[in-house]
Amino acid sequence: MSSDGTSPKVLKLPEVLDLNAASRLHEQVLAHKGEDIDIDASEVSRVGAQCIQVLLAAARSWRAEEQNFRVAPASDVFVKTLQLLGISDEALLPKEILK
Amino acid sequence: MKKKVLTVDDSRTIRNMLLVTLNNAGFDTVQAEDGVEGLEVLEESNPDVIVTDINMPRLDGFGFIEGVRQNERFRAIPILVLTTESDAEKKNRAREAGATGWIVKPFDPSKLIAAIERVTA
Amino acid sequence: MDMNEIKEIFFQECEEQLAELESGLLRLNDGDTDPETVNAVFRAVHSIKGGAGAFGLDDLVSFAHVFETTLDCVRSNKLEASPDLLKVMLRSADVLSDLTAASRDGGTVEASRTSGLVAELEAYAKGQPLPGAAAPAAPAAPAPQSEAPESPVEEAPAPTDDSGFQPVPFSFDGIDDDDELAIGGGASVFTVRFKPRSDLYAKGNEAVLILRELSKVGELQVRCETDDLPSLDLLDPEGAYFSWLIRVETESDEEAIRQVFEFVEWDSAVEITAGADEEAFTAPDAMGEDQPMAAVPFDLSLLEDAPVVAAEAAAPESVPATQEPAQLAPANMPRAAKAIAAEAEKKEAAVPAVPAAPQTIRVDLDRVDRLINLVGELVINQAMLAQSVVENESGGSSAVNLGLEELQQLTREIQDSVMAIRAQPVKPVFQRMGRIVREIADMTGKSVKLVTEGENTEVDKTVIDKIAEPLTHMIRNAVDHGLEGPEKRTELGKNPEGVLKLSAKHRSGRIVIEIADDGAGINRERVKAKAIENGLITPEANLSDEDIDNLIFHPGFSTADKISDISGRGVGMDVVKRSIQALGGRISITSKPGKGSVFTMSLPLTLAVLDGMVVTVAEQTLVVPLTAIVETLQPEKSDIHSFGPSQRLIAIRDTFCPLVDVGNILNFRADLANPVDGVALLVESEGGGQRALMVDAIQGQRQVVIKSLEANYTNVPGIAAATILGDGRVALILDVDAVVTASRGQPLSPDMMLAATG
Repeated sequence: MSSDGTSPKVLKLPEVLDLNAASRLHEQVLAHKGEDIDIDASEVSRVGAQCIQVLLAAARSWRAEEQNFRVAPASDVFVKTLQLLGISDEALLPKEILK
Repeated sequence: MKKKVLTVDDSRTIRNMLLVTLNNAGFDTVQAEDGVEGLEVLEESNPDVIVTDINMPRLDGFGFIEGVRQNERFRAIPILVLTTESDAEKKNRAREAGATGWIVKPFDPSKLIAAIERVTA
Repeated sequence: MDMNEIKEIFFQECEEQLAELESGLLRLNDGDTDPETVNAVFRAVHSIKGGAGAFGLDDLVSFAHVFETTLDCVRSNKLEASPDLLKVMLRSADVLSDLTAASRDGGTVEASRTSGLVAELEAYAKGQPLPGAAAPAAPAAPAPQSEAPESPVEEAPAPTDDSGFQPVPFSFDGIDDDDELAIGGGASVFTVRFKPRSDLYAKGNEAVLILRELSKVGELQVRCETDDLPSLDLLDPEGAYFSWLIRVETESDEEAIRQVFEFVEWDSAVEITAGADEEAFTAPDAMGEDQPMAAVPFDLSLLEDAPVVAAEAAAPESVPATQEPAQLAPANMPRAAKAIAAEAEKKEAAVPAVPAAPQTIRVDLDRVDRLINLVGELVINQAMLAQSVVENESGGSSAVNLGLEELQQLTREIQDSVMAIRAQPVKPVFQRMGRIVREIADMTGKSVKLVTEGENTEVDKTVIDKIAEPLTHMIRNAVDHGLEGPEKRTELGKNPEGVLKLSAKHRSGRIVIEIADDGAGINRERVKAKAIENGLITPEANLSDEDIDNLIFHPGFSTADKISDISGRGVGMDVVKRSIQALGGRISITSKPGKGSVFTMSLPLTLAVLDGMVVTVAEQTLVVPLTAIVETLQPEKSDIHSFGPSQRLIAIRDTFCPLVDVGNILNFRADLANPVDGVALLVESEGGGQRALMVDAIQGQRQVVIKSLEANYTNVPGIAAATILGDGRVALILDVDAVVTASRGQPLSPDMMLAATG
């Protein structure tokens, strides 16, 4: 159910998004399905490819359902990791980076 | 923040070398003498990376690695195997047990540090 | 800690490993089939090899390597630990020990010894024992595939195997530049396809880190293939869906790129091709809906340490390493190094929290010795203080007395604790004897099995250090002269393999070491004949068997004699005896013809202190070691029975015990004292018999500090050592066994002491 007009839910990501964090992240994201969501990645100091997979799959799923899925704010590490991995999905990267 | 390395080796000589090398390179180092102790120390030290020998009494490196990988809390920790064995069999078994990488003994300090850096964020 | 200290630790550890190795091999030799025994033996050699490699001790490494390979065959049941193989291994252990010693102390080991054993070991490892070496006991043992370990067939291309054992000398200074990144002539372009499997992540590897590592090799353009990514509901959060297509522009070669994937080759598909796949990077359509943009080179400065290098990819990688020679941190982790440098002082106190090894420190023996001497002085001082308090007869002050008592208690505890620091098990010495036995057995063509017992018996280090030599001579003597050759033994109906039993135990506050063989025993006829020939005894002398046996300790006996010239080494038992006596010890022999001989040596546990009973004998003050005393008695006239001119017995309950007048034996007085006027000390001597030593009066019990008479004066028969009492007087410490022996009829003269004491 869309929540137009209300401020989106915020999911704050933990500092470390490694193998051990992927399942939990998956559950958390799934729990917010159907509503606009902002992902706060400002605290992230380490993120692995598997958590990025979860986030990218989520971004696509939200997009398919025409809900808002947005990562902001994001720590530099988070942004640089995405760049290193060659991921440039605009839902995961703050706009200014994509320019 | 300093990275913390857990080393598991039954040889006092190697333990000391690891300690000196790692401390000089700016790591925190905790040590254990065999796999059993390694699992104990792991619980209380929560290291960023583990360096372990293979041939050890009580619990060898293979068993130790399996123990770490089966531990919900610590299974993601990178584990480097110290081995003098150049033969592929040992490496295979270590990999099957869940080793992240390996360092061939006698280790060159720079290679040790490089390997640790490689597998840690 | 520096290199030398670690090297010192290494050699200490080698000693332990060598001991472990030998005892393990001996257990296997005794039929132990516990796999853990084989493992322990393997680990010992393995560990020596590992450490030796780190110090660049090539001889040691290469020999240990061959040894280890053969052991590995035994460990994996490819080779049976036959008695012949174990013989080769025991000799190999000896050579390994020599190589270790040579590495430590300089010197070399005869190349022929090593090369011969290497050939034998390798032959075993190949399942083809050398001709000459006995055939394998079990022909069923499958031939080991020594050099070709079976490994599962890999689907990926064969890994770059660092085969061959290359010792890399270990050093802390000057950490090598990253030589993986050789600078080639000009940049070239490679295309890398990298598709991880989930195992890659499960084993603690991380695609992010692989890419970071790759970015150190050259400039990257990265494209992530995300087509395999399922919908969120179907996604396994720990699955591996991403794969990458990477363009690498680098001055390094393909090998440098392959190195990056060294740890993950098995858990991912990696394909490296020279040249660019330009199409992939220029045709956005091919990249999937989520990837509208071509990848760009990155500033990765936040991804830890990679960035600096990556950003300046063209810069030679080898430059930074030597810029800060004082800083030991390797160049390829500048961040951490700088962080440390910055925090060095304040982090000083942050010692690693869990030093797992048992808490030990190494201390110079000199310091311990000094401490022991000082405590000895403290004991004397405490005694003197106590004495002067008593003499001043302020007596009434119970506070002073209480304090003195506590002081005495404390002094005592300090002394015990200090002595415990220096106490060590005899095990290492015993283990060395195994080798002596093997050598002498080889030399004499005899087959000998050494059995040890009580190896954990502890004794002061000063004593340990000194027993090895006499023990060696006695062992040689026992193998050379005690045991018969295999043919002779078979003839006699004995097991062709002789048994030598070496045991240690504590007894009466001393350590007793026995060397028992099951050989022929002393040939008394020959010994007696020889003694007569050498003029040691007259032909008429009527000697007991024991007396004859003990003749072999007589200095006049051994010279150039075939019987007592030990294995051509020219050391007689008299020399052995003297060195044991110099330690305050005694040696005796009992022998049964055809059954074997037992040499017993007894030594003080320490050369430093003694619990003694202070007694008066003919106005002299003597100290009798408390450990020798069973009980004290006040003789009644009716208990004393005389026979012969000077022999007396005392009735103690239901038994009679010879009464020994100490004053008379020591020549303090010529006549015999009246037993009723004195006190009898019932003592147990080394031989096991009891005697009642008669003294005039008992002054009290006291711990005394032993001052060697030999060191300060000269050996006095019947006297073990001297001490200083509380009042500052010197008192002599009685050698109970010598006195007991003397009481058996021989006068206590230095000459006969050597022939007669036991």
